[in-house]
Amino acid sequence: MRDASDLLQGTLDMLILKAVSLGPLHGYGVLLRIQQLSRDVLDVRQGSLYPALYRLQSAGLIASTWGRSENQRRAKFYRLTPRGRRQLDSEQERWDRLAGAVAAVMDSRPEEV
Amino acid sequence: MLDRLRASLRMTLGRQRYESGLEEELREHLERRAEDLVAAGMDAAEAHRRARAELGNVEAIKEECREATGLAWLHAFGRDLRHGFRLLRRNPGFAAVAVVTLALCIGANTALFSVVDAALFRPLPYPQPDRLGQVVRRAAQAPESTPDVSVDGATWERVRDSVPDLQAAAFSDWTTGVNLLADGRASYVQQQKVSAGFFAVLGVAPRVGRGFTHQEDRPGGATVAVLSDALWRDLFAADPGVVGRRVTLRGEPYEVVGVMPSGFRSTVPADLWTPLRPSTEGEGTGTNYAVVARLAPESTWAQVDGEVAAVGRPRFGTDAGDATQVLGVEPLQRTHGQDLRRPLLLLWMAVVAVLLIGCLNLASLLLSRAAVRGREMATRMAIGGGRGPLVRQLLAEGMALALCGGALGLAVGELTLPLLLRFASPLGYDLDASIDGRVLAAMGLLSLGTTVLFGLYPAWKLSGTSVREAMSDCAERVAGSGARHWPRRLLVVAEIALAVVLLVSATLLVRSLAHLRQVDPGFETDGLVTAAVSLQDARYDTAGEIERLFRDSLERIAAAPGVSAAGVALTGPYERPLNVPFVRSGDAPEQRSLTNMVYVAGDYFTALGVPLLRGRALRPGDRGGAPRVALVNHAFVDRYLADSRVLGQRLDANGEEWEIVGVVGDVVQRASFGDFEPLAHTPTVYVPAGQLPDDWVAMVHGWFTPSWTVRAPGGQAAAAEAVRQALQEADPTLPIARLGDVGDLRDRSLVAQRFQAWLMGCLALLALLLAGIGLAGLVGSGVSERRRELGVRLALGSSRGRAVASAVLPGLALAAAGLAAGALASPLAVRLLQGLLWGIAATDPATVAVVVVALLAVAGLGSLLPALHVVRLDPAATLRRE
Repeated sequence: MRDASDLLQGTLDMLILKAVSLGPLHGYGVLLRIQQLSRDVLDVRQGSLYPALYRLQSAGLIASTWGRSENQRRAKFYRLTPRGRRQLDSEQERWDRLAGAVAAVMDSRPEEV
Repeated sequence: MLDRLRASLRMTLGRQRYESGLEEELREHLERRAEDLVAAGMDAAEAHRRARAELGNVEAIKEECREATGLAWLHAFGRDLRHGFRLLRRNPGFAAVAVVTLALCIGANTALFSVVDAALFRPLPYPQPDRLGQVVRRAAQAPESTPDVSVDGATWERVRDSVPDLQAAAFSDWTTGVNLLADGRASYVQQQKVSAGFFAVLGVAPRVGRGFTHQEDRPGGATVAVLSDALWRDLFAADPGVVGRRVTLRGEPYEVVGVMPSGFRSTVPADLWTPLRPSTEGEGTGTNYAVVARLAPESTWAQVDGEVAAVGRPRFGTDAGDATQVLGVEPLQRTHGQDLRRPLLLLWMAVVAVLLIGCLNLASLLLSRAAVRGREMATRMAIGGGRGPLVRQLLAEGMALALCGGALGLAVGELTLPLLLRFASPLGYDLDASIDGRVLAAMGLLSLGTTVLFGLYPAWKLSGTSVREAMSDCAERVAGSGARHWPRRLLVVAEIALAVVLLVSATLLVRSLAHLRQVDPGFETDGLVTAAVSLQDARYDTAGEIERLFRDSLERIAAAPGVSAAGVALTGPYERPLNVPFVRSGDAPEQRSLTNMVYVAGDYFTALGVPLLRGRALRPGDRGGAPRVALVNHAFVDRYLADSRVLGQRLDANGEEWEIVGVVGDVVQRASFGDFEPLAHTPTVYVPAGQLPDDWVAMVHGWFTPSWTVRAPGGQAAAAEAVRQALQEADPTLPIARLGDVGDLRDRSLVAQRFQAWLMGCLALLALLLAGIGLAGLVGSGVSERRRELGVRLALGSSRGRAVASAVLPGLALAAAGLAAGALASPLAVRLLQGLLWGIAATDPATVAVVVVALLAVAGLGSLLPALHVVRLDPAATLRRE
């Protein structure tokens, strides 16, 4: 497993936005979803998850409400705001470009240069 | 953008909720993680441990979250404030002294300023109050001295007719208590007389009906009245159809023409208004009117002042005019309450001085804490505390102090203000004072400034010294540790000097009051009963009528058991008498002078116990139709008849000629003219009530309430009852306005002086107390810093007495320095008190003695109490510490 904080600056925020875009999640749920979606490759350091959530919330990209979880426990659920949706779209685009560029570099063979 | 704003607003405002939410969220996280781990086959305890380890330091996460949402500073500040309160709790002595000092200063200042503001500064409750003025008479030689706001009828008419830039109205600036009958109900109300246009000039329209017309406002005009809102509600249950209803005032029917709105305040507290009917006759011959005026929109004060001055000299019943005075216009804001202006401004200065002492005290206290905490601060910096947090904490401590002091000060102010108002109420002003938010804010900022400024001193000081130096013990070992105490010593000397100045002022005022109370009354004060009865009544406006009433009632009273003599006088001892111009018969009119004139009936002088010095007393035969006769008092002879014969001398006064037939002793009266002390033996002419001109009788009863004076060797209570009964039998509809003894009169006559003296006295005591606390604090910290040195001295055989003395003496030296500085500054304060001091010199030896003794007592106590700690020092313990 890789620590997500090793990833590029700002990537954690993007991953969180993506995770909550698929449906409201509580903090621990965000952690599990990222883990699951990355097929256990990415492991977000738990200590940096909550400050990131609060930062995104304070920036108005996600919003939170208290509700009941699947096993009827009180939990705070995060969901994407319209502003967060726009932010996620632009991050997605930026990431696709970046990932494509990196892949192109890495996939290059001597004869292509 | 909006989302973002809303999010951070929600977080900032709901900090408490937010904190507990974060806490719960993290707890929830830990539990879920532990459950998952257990589900994966881990032992429960191990799972919880693991979950916590994975999450990391919960406090650090919380802090990061706060920082992420911009709440960090708020949180840190709250923490510092809590820390500040904790520190205060840990030093209860310091905290108590500092907080109580602040509370007393803030409380006294807010309360007194609220009164000053209500009386002098707050804009008058009329539209465009800055355009309202009053016509005044200024002394030609001293235009800066307090002007006189009263004018005579001729002056009023000239101002009214020849100053186009003024919309003016005359009024009488006092009220008279009158009996009012409405719907069969009698009540005693305060009536003010105002001329047509008075309400319009002030800019307040009646809520119902109208004001007075010019037809009503001339001699012989219709008898109409305007009611105050309160009286309207009380008498007519706020009936809007009140206009046209009739009330009986002083035995005459009056028609109600209007009702003023509820917020309306006249120049004096009044319940109802009637037309003034100004003229150049009767009361218009004297300066019995006041004139309020509104400036025309484009005119300036200087321009209008010049126009009024150009009207001519103020006239006092003659065509020659009064060359010593000039007319002018002053803003109403200045003339309203001008009697109170000087005493109130002085008291305000005094209370600001107390505030200054309090701040100096606080500064000194904080400096002493700085000395004690130098090491704590140095330690914190040595272990990497950083200056930022240190400064923040000191700020928070100062803020905690200021908050406590401010809150308590508000409470002190709220408690003091009603007392102050009740104390001031006999002054006769309608003071609508409440704690003023601006003052409170100003006081709060000042105390905050003081605490923060001097609270930061340790941080500032540390920047000058190396951490190692401050950490080392050597500072404590140095015996003198002198130089760094100089700032505190100067503060304490300044405090003491200020306290001395206040003490001198207060003692002089109190001694003046004592002097005035001790002015020889000139009569036997014990065993007297006086009853004041208003004769402002249409049934009593001829000399014959009042003579009949006096004779009838006095016969009944004199017949009562326990009464030895009874009489009536227009004004009695300690009252302000009527003054009239007069000349000796045969002298030119330019030689006219002023004298008091009092009508008497019955055995007035016998009842008072005033001796007849020469000639004969007044007799029952000196009545209407008989030759007019008068008695004069000793002061009159001294002042006006020193070089001429007395008995047989004729005087021209109010259009009649009076022959002096006797001389009586002086009785103390309130001065109403000349340069007499407030209570003095003023020249007075006594005339028989039955010989007065009729027009004069009605006029003086509009101003004065005559008093029945009864000598009661058989007990005052029984005599008072006899007076009540006799008056009831003589005329059942006459209300007694006041029934009491002479002591009441004396106290009422000195109410302004007592107000000043007592308030100044309280402030001086407060100042002395604060200065004493400041001194004690300084001596105390000196002792605690020298504990080691003093302990060593004791161990080496020095006597405890000498050790104590060595701690006390510096305190006394500071007190002496403060006393000297205060003595140098006092003449300035005494100059401010000029005109309020009577019968004592500024260098009054008794005052000096009182001040020196009081100060030395406080300084001695303030130095000795902390120095006594030396006695409890254990030399052995000191040596062991060495």
